[in-house]
Amino acid sequence: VTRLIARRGLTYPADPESLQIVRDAGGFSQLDDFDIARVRVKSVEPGEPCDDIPTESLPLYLERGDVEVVDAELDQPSDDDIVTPVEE
Amino acid sequence: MAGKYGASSFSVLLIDGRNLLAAKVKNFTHKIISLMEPSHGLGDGWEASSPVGLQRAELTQDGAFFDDTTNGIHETMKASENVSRILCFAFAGNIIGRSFVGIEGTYGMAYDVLGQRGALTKANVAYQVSGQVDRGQIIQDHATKVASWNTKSLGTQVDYSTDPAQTVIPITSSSVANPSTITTPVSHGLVTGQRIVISGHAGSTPAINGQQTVTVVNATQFTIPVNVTVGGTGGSFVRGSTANGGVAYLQVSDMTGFTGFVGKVRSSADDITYADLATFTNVAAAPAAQRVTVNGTIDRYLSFDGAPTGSGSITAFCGFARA
Repeated sequence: VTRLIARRGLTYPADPESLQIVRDAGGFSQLDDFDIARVRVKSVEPGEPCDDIPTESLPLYLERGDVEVVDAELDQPSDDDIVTPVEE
Repeated sequence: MAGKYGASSFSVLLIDGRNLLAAKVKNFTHKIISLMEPSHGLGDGWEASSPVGLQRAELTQDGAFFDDTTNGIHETMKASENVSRILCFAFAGNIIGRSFVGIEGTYGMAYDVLGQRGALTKANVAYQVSGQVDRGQIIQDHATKVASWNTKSLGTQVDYSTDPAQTVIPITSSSVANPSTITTPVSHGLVTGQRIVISGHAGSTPAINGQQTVTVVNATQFTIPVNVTVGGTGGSFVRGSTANGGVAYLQVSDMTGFTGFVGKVRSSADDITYADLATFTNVAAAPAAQRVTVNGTIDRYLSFDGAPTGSGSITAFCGFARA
């Protein structure tokens, strides 16, 4: 299993409905005021997952190294990172 | 009068975050001089000069009212010697997408206070510029905001293909091939991997108008990854990306209530996903100005993201110049 990790800050439509609105308009710059109010935007910081990046954008960012495919196993916290609550 | 601008369009003059238009400047000059060296010698009958490859910028402003209020012209310029400043001005309107000029390394060379009988006191400034002049587009107009914002979500990002400063390159033909070869009657000036936006090309199957990525063949030919089965002719293109980086300018002229402010310039090739391009360091107080250099490809669309901390208001300006 692999995951997509952003290596650069990214922003894109936050959900399928928002993405469809942006696609139908032909991009953010083509949105009218009504659609602007309906579109939700997601921001991803470097190091965070971006599995939901729009498919049409992915090839360019993969090519540039702004998005990286990593083994999901490596993205899981190690035993050292897990803090077990101490019961009193 | 398209492309012509009057005095009211000269609507941004910011130095280190200080708004000098508040002093009602009457005249402003901006001159770029190519340095020349006499290159004639014995035996020559006429003088000759050759460029030495250096340029110099000179700026002057005059007719402003002497103003000694906080952040006014007097406070800004009275101790101007040996102080490098960041200056931005816009002569075509304080409007996103319009032209701006930015300079870092602007020194006040002469500051004159002019007292006149029967008139308000004036203040003139002549600047010496050390370094290059950057010309670009306004990404965030000089405006006041009271919460986080980004121009992408507001639908006011800048599309480089609409920059009036771009050179429009005509197209002669598209070949029947995969990839199709585009021929231009003049040097296209592109590099491989650069994106272009084609318009008005007629007769090809499929149509090739729109954004394309080029592979350069020679100075007047390049290919695009389209399987063209019927060749076309005519039309033109403009660049949809640039390859040599750029410079971002931020000016914050007022910040009240907010305890910090981080501005970002983002870019996008497809107008759907935007990536961080330049991040300014946190601004803790106004007035303030920053200049950030970025390398590599600059995509077609640019947006500005403003993230203040706390509650209050901020008046900021941002411009981006492609190299």
